[in-house]
Amino acid sequence: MTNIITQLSKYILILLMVIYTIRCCLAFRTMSQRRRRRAFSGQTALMLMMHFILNLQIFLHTMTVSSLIFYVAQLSFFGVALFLYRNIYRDASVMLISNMFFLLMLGFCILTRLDFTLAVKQFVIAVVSVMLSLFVPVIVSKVRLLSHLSIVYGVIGIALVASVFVAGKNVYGATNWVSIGGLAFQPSELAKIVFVFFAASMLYKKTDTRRIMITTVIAGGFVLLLVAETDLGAAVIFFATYICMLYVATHTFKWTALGLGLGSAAAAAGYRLFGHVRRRVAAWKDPWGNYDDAGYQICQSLFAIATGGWFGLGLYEGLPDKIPVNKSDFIFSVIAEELGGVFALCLLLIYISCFIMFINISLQLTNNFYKLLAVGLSIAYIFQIFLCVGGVTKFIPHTGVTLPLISYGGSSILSTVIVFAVIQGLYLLKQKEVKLLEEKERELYRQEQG
Amino acid sequence: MKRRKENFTDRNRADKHIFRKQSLDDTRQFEGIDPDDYQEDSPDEEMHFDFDESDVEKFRHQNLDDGPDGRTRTGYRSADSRTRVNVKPDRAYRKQDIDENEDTRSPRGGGDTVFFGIANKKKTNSEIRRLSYVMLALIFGVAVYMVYFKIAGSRNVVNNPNNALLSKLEEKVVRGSILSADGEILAKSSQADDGSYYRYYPYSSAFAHVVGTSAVNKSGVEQAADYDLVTSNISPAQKVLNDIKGERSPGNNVITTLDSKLQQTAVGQLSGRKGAIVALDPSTGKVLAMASAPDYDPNTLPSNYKSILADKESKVLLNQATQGLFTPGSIFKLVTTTAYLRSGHDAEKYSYDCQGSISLKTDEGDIKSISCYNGEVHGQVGLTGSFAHSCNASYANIGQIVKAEKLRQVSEELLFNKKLDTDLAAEKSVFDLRDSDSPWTVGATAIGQGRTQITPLHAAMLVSAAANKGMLMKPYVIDKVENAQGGTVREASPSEYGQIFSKSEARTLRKMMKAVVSEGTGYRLQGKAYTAAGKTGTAEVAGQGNNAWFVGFAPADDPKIAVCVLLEDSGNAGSTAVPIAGKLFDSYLGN
Repeated sequence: MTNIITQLSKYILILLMVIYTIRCCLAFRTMSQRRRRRAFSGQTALMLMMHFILNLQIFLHTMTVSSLIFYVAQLSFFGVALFLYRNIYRDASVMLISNMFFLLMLGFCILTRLDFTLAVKQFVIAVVSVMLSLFVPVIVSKVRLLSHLSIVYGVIGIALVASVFVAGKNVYGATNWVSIGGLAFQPSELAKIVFVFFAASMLYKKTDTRRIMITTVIAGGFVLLLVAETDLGAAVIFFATYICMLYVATHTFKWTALGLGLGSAAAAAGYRLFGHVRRRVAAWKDPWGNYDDAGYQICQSLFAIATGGWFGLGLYEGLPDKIPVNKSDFIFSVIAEELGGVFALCLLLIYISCFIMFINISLQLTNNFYKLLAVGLSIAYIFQIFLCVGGVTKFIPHTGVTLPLISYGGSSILSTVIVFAVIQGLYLLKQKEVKLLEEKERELYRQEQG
Repeated sequence: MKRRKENFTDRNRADKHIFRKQSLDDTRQFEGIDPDDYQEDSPDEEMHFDFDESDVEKFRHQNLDDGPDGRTRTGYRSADSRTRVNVKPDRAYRKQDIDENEDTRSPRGGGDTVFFGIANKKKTNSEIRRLSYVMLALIFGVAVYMVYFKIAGSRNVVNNPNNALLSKLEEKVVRGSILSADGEILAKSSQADDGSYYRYYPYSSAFAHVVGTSAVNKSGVEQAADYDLVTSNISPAQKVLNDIKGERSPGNNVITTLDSKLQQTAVGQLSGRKGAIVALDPSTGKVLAMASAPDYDPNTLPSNYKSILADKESKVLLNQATQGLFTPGSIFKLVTTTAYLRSGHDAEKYSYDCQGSISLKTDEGDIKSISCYNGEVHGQVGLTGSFAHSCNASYANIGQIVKAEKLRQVSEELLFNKKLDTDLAAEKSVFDLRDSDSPWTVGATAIGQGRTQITPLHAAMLVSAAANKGMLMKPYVIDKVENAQGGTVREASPSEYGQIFSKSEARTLRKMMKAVVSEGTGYRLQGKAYTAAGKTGTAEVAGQGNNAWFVGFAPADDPKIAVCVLLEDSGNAGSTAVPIAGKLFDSYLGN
């Protein structure tokens, strides 16, 4: 009996995922406010169904009361948070909200399967982050001061990144973690947001050479500090984000070309200088040959993805513990292994749809500061996903970045939730503009009609 | 439904107008249509940004053309649907002109700054779009790569022996059967009384090495086709049903190229001896038989495994056909002959007066001799005669003519020191001769002694290529993979490894190999219903008996089978290995 339920639910889960993804992609066509609300309810319903199925499988396998309690806790969290978001921010983008909670939900479930304690920790952090982030959209859309604080951003950013030198500890060969009261905290994740604010505030008004020089030097400082901390994934993200923001701000290719050139030179130098860069590249080119060394992670990840097939082995049916770092970077492989290739591809599509939404919002914004902000955050977000999934599938060398909202990692969750919240704030700004225009029009129309 | 109707009937027209505008708005938002696009139409109009009545009036009454298809692309429609807002980049709002003290760009409350900064919006937007396309291309690249990996590359990845997940697959599927080319079951999953499955090998030790085992010491076809055997390719609906019912689906069956009768003959000939036999089909590369002795009973391996491993002397688990390296002896003369021909010498012109031995300088500086077998004096011999009678003196002489470097070059062209590309893992044959080596060492190497070592599979491949006009076909053991219902999942087809002998070299070698049987050391193959051809080899091995080799093929003029017979710790090849080859030919060609 249990087996029938488990097997049936496996296929139902995949079907629900496909439906969710399709509706997500369809959200890009024209929709009225009503339809959007209905789409949102539909997505939420799908999400809750999937949540139920996953937790059912978890419960059937573990038979513990704590998993039930956790399920109820998650449900209450979703209920309260969704309610708050929808009612405090009536005009917020519902697709963004639903996607964010959907991803969080997936993260909770997969982590529960991997390690219950971690899942609970992740949950607590998520709750705190979401509650904190409720303040962010209102700050972003109302506080005019934000565009002026470039120096503040610069200082805070550098301080965050540099803090690991002062209070850092070494994890997986990268010294980019700081321990605060027993919680491991990765300042580079938060620094990412501050960095984008910094670059946006510096570059939105004028982009004369002097300004660019100053900004670039400071940005370079960020990147170099990260390299010194051997957090190469973050360094690459910061670098790529900056180059893109520079391109958008200056409208010319010349800085981009210069940046790319410098970047390639730096990469080549890095390859020569750093042993573990060489090992990563060697592992990428021939993981089988390097099986006992740097290639082990990639090999196990590929085994997982390949053996998972299209429909997965089933939750609890695989051997995800064979994959190293399976709770953060390689969680994508775990999903591909147990929930299947179709599921993993749908997940990728959902991430892509969030990115497209971010970009559309940035296209709509009229104020340059906010525009740059949106672009920067979108690029940072999608590039991180590219590095993560690309590294895990051997498309590019593995760089040690996490999958946003699903990987275990407090700072990662917090920073991604804040990114989503900032984008919401920008969306609200835009909606406000449109509403005001609408209001005026309606006013005039009524007057005209007499 | 009801609520949607509400929009159109219950609200007043103003709201309807607003709604349409909003939906256009949404269209723009979600389809990314650039609201700037409408700048192109009326370049002379200007837009004020203080929304007082006059301004709104103004923009509502501007006449604009609709888009080419009659549909307004963007812009706000006014209530009478005739006009459209137009916005032009006002010069005053270009980036360079803004007074930097006056941060007129920050949005304030009220509707006065909606279109501020729009001057650059178009350009900025196109850049943003470009960037987003680049990023999307990257991500879709990853997605496509993943799909491609799953379709094309994953089979080899899954089949990797390091993959612990293979055993997980086996939990859902009943391991498929392995069959011979003539339909005999060589390995199957049988159900024990308690319902669990165990692996049963009906032919016991006859196919021990080539079919291999799966429960312990994964080897042979069980390892090479592991993924196929634990994958079930029956109809997906049936699989899902089985999944749900909790039943294990039947795995795919693998049909090998092995001929069960030939294999049994081979194993029978090796019984009580040590050695290996490989039989190939020269025109396709199919492995017809592969036997190795000493062997073991795969049915009892799970229980015997520990004791076998504990016995350091035991070679039973080793597939000597593919993994065993042996001194080739006179069969190496095939290589030496090829080296002679490739040096540009004329085969017809060679002549040597054999006195039973040849004296050559050694590494230490003194003179030592290389003798023919039993000191036999062959007298005046040509190349064919030297080959047919396996004259060591003559060939040592040829070694001096050809020289070390050419010998090494040709050996490597004939796949020595190279990893062989076959279904079953094989050791690399070794050829090690340096330019600094003495004439005696060169001579010894030329007759197949010295540091040279070869696997029986490699030897069979060489003779198979010579039989097939110089074209070596890639040896393969897995012929077809079928699903449990008999449908074909995958079929192998013969593939060309390479033309390792030229056609004329192959012709010469074939002629000489025929002479081996008709007038030389292979005389025991005379008097058969077919004409056989080949080469014998009796290699001296320090501390034990000779390696007795025979490599050959039959029928000589239309080869259907090429064999390599190796007997370790044995006597003279002509009396031991050759008759075995004869039995193999009889078995295969006789029926």
